Amino acid sequence: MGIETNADTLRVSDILGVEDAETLLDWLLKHPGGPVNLAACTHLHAANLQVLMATRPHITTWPDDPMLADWLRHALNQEE
Amino acid sequence: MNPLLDQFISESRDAIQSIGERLLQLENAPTDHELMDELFRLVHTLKGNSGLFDFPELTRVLHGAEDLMDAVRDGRISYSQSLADQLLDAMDFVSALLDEILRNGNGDLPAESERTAAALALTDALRQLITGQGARINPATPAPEPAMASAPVTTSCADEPPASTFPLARIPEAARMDAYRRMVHGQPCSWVSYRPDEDCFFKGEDPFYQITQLPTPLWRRVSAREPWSAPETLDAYRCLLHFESIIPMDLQALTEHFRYIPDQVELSPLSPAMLVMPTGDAHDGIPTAEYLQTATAKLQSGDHEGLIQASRLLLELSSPGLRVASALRWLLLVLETRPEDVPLQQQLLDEIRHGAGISQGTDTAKAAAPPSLAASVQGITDPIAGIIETQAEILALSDAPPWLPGRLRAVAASLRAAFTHAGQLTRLDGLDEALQAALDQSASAPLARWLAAHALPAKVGTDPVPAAPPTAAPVSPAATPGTGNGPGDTRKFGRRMEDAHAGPSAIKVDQAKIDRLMNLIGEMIVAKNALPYLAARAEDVFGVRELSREIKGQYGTLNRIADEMQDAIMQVRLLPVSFVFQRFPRLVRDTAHKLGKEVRLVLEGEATEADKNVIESLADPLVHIIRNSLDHGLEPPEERRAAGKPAAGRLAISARSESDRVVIEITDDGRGIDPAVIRRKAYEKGIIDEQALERLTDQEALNLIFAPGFSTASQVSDLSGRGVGMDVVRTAVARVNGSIDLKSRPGEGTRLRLSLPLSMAVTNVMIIVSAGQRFGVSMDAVAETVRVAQTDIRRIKHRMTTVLRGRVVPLVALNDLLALDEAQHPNEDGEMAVVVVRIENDLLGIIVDDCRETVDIILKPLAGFLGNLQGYAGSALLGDGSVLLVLNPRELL
Repeated sequence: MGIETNADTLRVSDILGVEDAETLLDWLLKHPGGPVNLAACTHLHAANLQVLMATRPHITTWPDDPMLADWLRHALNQEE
Repeated sequence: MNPLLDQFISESRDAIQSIGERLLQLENAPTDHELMDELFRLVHTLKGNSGLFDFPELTRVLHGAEDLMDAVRDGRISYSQSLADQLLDAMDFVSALLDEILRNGNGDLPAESERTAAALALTDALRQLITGQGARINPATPAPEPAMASAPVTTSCADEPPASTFPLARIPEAARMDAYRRMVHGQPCSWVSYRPDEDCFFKGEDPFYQITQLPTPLWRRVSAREPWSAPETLDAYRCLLHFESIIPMDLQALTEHFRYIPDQVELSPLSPAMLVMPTGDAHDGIPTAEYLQTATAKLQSGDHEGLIQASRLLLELSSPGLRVASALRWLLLVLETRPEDVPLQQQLLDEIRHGAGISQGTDTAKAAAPPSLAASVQGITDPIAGIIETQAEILALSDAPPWLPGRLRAVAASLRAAFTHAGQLTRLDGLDEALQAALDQSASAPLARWLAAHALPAKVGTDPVPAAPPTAAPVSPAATPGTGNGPGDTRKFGRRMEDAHAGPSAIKVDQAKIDRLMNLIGEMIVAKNALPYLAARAEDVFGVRELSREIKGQYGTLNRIADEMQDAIMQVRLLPVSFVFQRFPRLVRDTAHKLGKEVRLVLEGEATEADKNVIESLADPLVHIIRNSLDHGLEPPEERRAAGKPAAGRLAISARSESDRVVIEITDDGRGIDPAVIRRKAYEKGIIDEQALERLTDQEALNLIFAPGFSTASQVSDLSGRGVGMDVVRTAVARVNGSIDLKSRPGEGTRLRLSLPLSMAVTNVMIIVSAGQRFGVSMDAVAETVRVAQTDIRRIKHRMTTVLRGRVVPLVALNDLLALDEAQHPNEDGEMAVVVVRIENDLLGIIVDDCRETVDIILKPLAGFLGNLQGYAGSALLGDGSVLLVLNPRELL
């Protein structure tokens, strides 16, 4: 579960819990702009969503789950 | 419904009642702190209890009330009339909810937007009292007080038209058209605006999860309520998210989904017409005038094809980004999906006309659009129209029930009230005639015809019913336009409790009152028992046989009624044994813990009922028995394992009814009682002599533990074995005419069996005569009555005995026992009357002069100076007015 960082990419798997928001924010502060890979992410807590919305990292891969991907695209890209 | 909920409802009712009383008392003494504390406590308890169940609305309102009372108690705000009104309203709401829960029967309270709205409004009102009175601040400005900041700020949609509360115009046309199409095809859609609390993460909420669990929205927007701060200073745990979306779900389901956070969401059902909202840039230079002329003509003549063609033509000419193009697209869509909706089409044409006439900016255009649409929505949900429609529906019913005239009159009255309210008295012409005609024909048709001719066209026509002021009144937030429920059925909430008074199903009665009833029925039984004496006197003294027979007949009737009455009163006094059992799990847990033993407690038959006195008298003996079992019976885990038993001991307490008795068994699978040990101990303590040591059977030896002064524990622990042995238990059980017996096998466990009467109010006794006096003996103790020839009585060592059915029975003369200096009289055949009584498991024959009938009596214990007398169970009044002393054979010996 959670966050895995390697070669300057943050990879999210399964669920990002509420505590992970801090880790995520810390990493994004050190690596502004990401990149972040969400492929294996099934859900992320709203706190993480806030972090992503506020920091706008580059998302290399959107989640495989189409519902979640849709929501995240709307939240992060503000595509109408 | 489960017992817990049952209890909750009955307790809540009591609490609400008390709250009402306290509030009224406070009106007279607004500074009485004790009353305030009491009030706070009541509300607090009620709220706490409600949390056990899944009734978020209930808890929410009570929470608001609790906060308010807390503020009052702390002196932050003072008690006022309006505060009391608000609290009483809240309690009425709670009471209405309780009624509903009760009505649903299964303890469910399905989510309902109307109820949620009512709960929110009430809570808001309560909170506003706290903040409003505290600092007199404008509720629109952020409050300086922290209390206000944490209070949920909800935008009340009650006094705003729905179209302006959510920015439908911001939603792209394609998404709106998609939603429109779905709704036209019967898929209900709702508007959701979800603003999670800033501190919601700390309450364990995940707003993103909450919203992603909904079906895929037709449109959505995730935004921040204020600009994000720089990543370095970002507080990830302060929730600033704002979700807006159109969800293809009906309001009911959404309300259910968000039922725990109704104050953080705005939900509104959407209607297709609300989405029809042309957007785009203003236009000029498009030749709309000519088009409008043809279009209006075609619309009025109903030429759909022509209208569609003309519109398509103009659409091709217009740039797609223009407002006029948008309006045309909508028009085409409406024509395609709802060709019958002429007003809407007309409206769109007007839209195009306005756009063409004045060069409007997009902003003003957007602002202009909603009101016109809102007006049409208003027209549909107008309460008066709702009422009229409902009446029309009622009239359309084809059945002809017996109450048809009443129904017709009701309809006419409703219509009259509706029109009068709307100030349209002229419309009422002909109503009376139509009603009369309908009544004459016993049919709805004349009234329906009148309604169709007079009222219905006007409803949707050009002459909309003036908006009735009461609809917008804040008293009924449930009637908000657009909540989906027609305001015509503004029901239950807001109504006072008295209006729909539902009688509670249980009442609490002071025990003294029931005891009084019990005494009265006792006296009645005694009075009733006087009738046979009267009958006998009528026959013997006055020689009127007929009268005697009639009295006996009357007696039979009275007897039956009195019996039933007694039974009914007994029922009232019955309590389930769970009353006593409920304390055992804790007792066993604590005791076992202290002793370092593992115990599994099994309770059975907790619903078994018995008289209150019996149940209450059981409590102490049972506690004692359980302590004994835990202390002496069950072994420590190691010992049990060594004996091949599971480490955790089993202690079972079961209750069941057996005819007119309650049997309670306490069984453990401990080490059991060793008769040899008992024998030795009893001998050491001088309870038995050496001969008895040899003679006693194992069972008899076991029974020795009931002997006074016997305690097997070699070491006195602080739990049991404090010198008060099992004899105390036996005495306590005997006091309520119960018996106790014990079975035990070494190494396998012990079983104690208590048998108690269901009730001890009425005792059945046999009347015996000795030395010219009458005595009673409880029938429970009597095994049999026999006549024994004087020659069959043998003396063994100065003790009289006889042989009954091959068994030696010791005999005693009652006169000897009572120290009456008289010999027992035999009957003419030289036989002695013997009452054989059972004391524990032994039989004893008591020689009396004569045995008479059995009677039901109310046994009163001897009181005062006679209270110390041994040998008597009590006294009772007989039907002929004499006093009967009832013997207690056990104590006599």
